[in-house]
Amino acid sequence: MRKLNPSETRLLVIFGCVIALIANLFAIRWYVGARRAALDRLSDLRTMGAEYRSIVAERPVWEARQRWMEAHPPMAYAGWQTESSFAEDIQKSLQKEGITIDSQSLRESRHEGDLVRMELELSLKADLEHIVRWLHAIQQPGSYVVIEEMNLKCLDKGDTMIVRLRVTKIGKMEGVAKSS
Amino acid sequence: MSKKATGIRVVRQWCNGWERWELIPSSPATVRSLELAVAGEGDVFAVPARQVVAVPLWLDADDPATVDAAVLLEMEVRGFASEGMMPDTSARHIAREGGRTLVVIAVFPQDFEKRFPDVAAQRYDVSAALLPLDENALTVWREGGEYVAAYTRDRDLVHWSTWDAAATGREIQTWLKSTTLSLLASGVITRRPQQIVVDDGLSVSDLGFDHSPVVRPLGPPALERAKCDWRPASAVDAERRKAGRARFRRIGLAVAVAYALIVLVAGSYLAWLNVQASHLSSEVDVLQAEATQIQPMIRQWQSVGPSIDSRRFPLEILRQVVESLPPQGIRLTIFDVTPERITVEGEAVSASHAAKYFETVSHQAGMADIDWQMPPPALLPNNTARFQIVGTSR
Repeated sequence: MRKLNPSETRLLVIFGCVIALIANLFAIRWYVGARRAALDRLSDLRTMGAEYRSIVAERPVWEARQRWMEAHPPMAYAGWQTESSFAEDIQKSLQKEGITIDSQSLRESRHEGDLVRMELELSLKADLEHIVRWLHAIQQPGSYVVIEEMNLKCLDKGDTMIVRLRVTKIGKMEGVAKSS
Repeated sequence: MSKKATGIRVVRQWCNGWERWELIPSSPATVRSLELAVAGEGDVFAVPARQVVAVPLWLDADDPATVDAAVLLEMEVRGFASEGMMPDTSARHIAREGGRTLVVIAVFPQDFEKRFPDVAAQRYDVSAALLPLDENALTVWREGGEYVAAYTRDRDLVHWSTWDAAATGREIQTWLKSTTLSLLASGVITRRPQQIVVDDGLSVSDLGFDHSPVVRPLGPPALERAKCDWRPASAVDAERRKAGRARFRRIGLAVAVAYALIVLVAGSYLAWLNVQASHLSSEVDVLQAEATQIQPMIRQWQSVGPSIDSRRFPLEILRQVVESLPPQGIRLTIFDVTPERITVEGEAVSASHAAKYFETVSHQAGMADIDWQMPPPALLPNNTARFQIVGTSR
């Protein structure tokens, strides 16, 4: 093979340098991308790890709640009879406290997995003490009664108050598999 | 195949042509004939005496710097130097006497490469300087078609000259006598040579001596008194190119090493990140498996939570709102709870009362997970302030 003269050698070196530079630019581009991807993955994993760690750390609390719920399950839902019974129970409790019912309406129940939410909208008139007594009576842990909305309005004169509320009772469908 | 012995190789011209001597310490020197003057890297080349002009000078100075300047001047006068440069010379300081210095300058041919195209040796010196010459002697030998006569002052070579080997004995004797007288006259040698040594390869009768000189083999080259401080321009260029290539290789190697280090560090960093991610991923997998067992409990609790968790009961919130009331000055008019927000409206005797009440409500320990806001109270015609406090889950 013919020996290259200095100009050819110089040209070859410059060509080699340019090729090496281009290859390096591609390599750097790839490297920056790979590094960013690795750092993003690390950050995601750290966030997920922290989230899961906090859940796992609360395991005793959730297990205690699970045990409590197993010991105090919601009432069995058996269709409209259960809904009527719920409305009657509410009426009876109101009468017991001497609270006047301005209006009431039973809304369509909502199904969430094996749970059923029976909703009753009420408009009441009474003084604050009786309302508080009544609320205290119906909403106890284990009774699965939720006051979803409550509007307590004081009339301009006297102690009488107008209360508008949406009371929900949670029941459990019999024979339906537990939702995961 | 046996490996070549590694000694010093000297290429020189002798009676019967070119020869290459191999000088190996503590071994007898070996010689080999060459067809042409060929020398390569690592060789010492004995430049034939005929090609090198000997210029012995007595200078009126003994300070080295002055001597150097005087040498340059003398050489310029003789036409061996120009513009303050003596590129093809080698100077030997022989003696200092009475503030004077004897310097012998060897002037090598400028067109050395043309005369010896196949010589690219590492070191060069005049052939006379590479011979073991006797003290205060005249030594005669033959290099190709030339007789060479070399003079020593003590053990230092001070002069050499050549004469055609085809000359008669009388002509040779005239040449030697005139040279000797010239050197004596100039003080380069202090007395006639004590002995005349003739290489045993020569015929003494051909040289025309009227008395018998010492005839002995001059033997292999001797490097003890060689200076070898001159090189032809091509050798200097070749060395400069070689040094340039070596520097380029060093820089290239350094760049390659730095590049390799950077690649190694970058690669290791990436690998370390991936190893970390891999460890973290397996940790997260374990935690996820455990969390997956808990998540159904959480979902179930969250679906019935508002019926169980008394902290979220409207009555409990109302209790804390009422508990925050001062003994007098505030009257609540509306308490409204929806899944999204809690609204408390009322009237206060002054805006500052309302602000104080808002402060108390928003710092209630039992409602720490609620973010409370209060727009500026509106002043009523009866000088009371109507306020509204809105709470949302954090």
